[in-house]
Amino acid sequence: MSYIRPVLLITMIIAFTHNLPAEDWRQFRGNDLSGVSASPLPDVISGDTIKWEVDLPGRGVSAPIVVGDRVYVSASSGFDQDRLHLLCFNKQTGTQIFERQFWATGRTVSHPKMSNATPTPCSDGERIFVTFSSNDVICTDLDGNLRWFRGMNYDYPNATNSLGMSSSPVVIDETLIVQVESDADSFAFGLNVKDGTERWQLERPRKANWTSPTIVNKPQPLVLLQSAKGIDAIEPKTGKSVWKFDSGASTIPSSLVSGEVVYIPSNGITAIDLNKPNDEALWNVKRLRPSTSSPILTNGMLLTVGSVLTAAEPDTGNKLWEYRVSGPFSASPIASGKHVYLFSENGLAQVVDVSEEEGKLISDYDFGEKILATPAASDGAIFVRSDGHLWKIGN
Amino acid sequence: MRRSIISSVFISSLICLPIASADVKDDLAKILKVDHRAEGNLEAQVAYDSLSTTSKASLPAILKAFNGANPLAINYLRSAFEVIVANGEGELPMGELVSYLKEQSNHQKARAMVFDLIKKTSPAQADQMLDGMITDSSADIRFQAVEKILKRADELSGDEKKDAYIKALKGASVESQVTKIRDTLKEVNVEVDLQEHFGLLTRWKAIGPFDNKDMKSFDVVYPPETELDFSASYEGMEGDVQWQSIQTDDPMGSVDIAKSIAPYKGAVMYLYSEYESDQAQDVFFRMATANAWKLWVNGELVFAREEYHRGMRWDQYRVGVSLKKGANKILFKILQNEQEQDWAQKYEVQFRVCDESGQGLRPLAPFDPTK
Repeated sequence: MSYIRPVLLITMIIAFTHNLPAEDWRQFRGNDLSGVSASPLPDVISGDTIKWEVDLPGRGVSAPIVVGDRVYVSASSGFDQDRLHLLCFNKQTGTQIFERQFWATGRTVSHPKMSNATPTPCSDGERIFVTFSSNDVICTDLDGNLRWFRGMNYDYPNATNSLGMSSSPVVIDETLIVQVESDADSFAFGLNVKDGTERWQLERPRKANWTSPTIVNKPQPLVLLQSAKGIDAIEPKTGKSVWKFDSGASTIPSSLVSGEVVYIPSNGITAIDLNKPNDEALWNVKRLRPSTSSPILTNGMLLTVGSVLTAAEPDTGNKLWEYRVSGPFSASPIASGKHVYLFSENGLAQVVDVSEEEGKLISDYDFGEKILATPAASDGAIFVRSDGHLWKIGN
Repeated sequence: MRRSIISSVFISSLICLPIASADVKDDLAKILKVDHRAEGNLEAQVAYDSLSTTSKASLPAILKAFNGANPLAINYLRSAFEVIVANGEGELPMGELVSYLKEQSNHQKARAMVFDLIKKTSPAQADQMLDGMITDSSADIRFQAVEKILKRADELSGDEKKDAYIKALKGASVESQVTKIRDTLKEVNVEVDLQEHFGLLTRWKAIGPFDNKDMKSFDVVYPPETELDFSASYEGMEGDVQWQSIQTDDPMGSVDIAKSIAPYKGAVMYLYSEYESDQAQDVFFRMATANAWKLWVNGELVFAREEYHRGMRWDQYRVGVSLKKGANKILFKILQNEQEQDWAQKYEVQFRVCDESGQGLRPLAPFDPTK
């Protein structure tokens, strides 16, 4: 009879783990836009920890997202970058579940480093929202059936950027928030998730802007729209402005929200208290200067990535240490506990332990392809893509 | 009794058929109504759900609906087409699909989609078809036909290779393909006139500079916007200005104001040219500039763009224009700001006239800016 107990235990474990809800990563930098994985990620990135690799068409700088047991990724192809792709893969096996193609209705021109598929898709758990540099906004169900299609460039022909658009949308309160901001026409839209109609439309600063909106939940759910002028915190369903930060902000890296503090790439990094957003900033440190990558907070440290990885105290902005990493970086880092995962433009993955007195490289792996996209994480695995491939990295 | 049972089964089977053509028509009509600002989206969603569960027999009707559909509607149609191809009952109506592909006047993107499908289902047939598609009306299909010739040409040598490249040039309209062909033919002493091939406008009259300090003059109306008197003299930013002729020898048709005239800062220049069209026709102006601009055709403002120094790229802007038969007047306002960075010194434009698929269109006669 003694063998029954282990068998029973194993059966229970299998049953239990199979019933666990999958850990979603529904948008750029994850569900809470922090870039931090709830589950521990692999310490080592190597050929052995690459669980699967699948081919992708054309080009893409967008991050994968994970909903349930599926990974969704966008791409653009064709000599004009006017073919828009949404691909869906089984998270466990990498088997392709479907591919849908659409045609761009807006301008597809971009800087060679970007592509039409630069913004990261997002999901509310029922739908997938895919946006492109051409300002095409596509909503499908989880099986790829088209729900609606908007051509924001078709509607607003001057809301474009000759370098390309990159702002990744967010979805909250049944509203898809899309920033379409340029030197010419500049707007933010709150689109009804059900049919793509505009709940609201805001005139935005006429200045090229590549940042993505961020969500805060204090004192109420608000969306932070970042621009060269600063931050505008708006109600998602109405677009009504609740508070503003007017001291200017970067137009490339996006803000980070952690707890009750917003870390804004503004004159270095400026930290503001969500409970008193109109009060004087908590701190400002000019030397904390994120380049293209957005900041991240993990293991009790605020980290920015430029030519070096810089760790600072979240409460004061005081620098703790700097650690030279191999860049340059377009992708924002993700993290799990004391491990920060950096993917350089040259395709070098670097796992840095930030729990030491200074950073310590514990693993690196050369993917041999240009990587510009921010990775996703789900159930202990990392999903990262180049133009031509999507990889799952796991233990 | 037996006969009535058979009849009932037959009628039931008719009712259970996956499509009824009236329903498909109704669904297509609803999808074709989608328009700007989400108009008709909800109705189209219902119609899409109904349409995409029909059988493969509805594919020809969907293809037919592409012709004349707007850029939003074609995406609904495409998606329904894809879903039916993947999941719909029945066999692919290959004969009708091929017929649709062969008719050049059908929707270019839909034809390219059908060609993709044939490539997937019958790669050999698609490959064979490409041989006759070098001058296809679809830019996408033409691109693939040119690629095939270039790939084969690289295995050839001597006159065979040269002839293959010359053949490929007939269909090439994409910059990367055309410049590759130009470079290869140059090695065997065959010159390709890129200006002519791409339909570049290279001869202009120019006047300026007018003041654009602090970028304040985007909407300031200077005299060339109200009258085209090429003998007139106007007060400019640095004294009186007159129209002068400017012609570029750059193979890619770049008109470099900074080099050919002067590297003005905080300035407005106007360029004027004419395009002699052999017929009234819809064309596309494809332009590139890192400067802000306004464009008038036959006195009508067709587009305005206030963006400075976000790069200059081939075919950066595409503006659809209706030309009349005869001389069409093109006035281009080009604005330079006062940024001091090295990368913000371009004061330059490229301008070409082409059909929807990007093939250059030549005027009946080149414009003479000296007259």
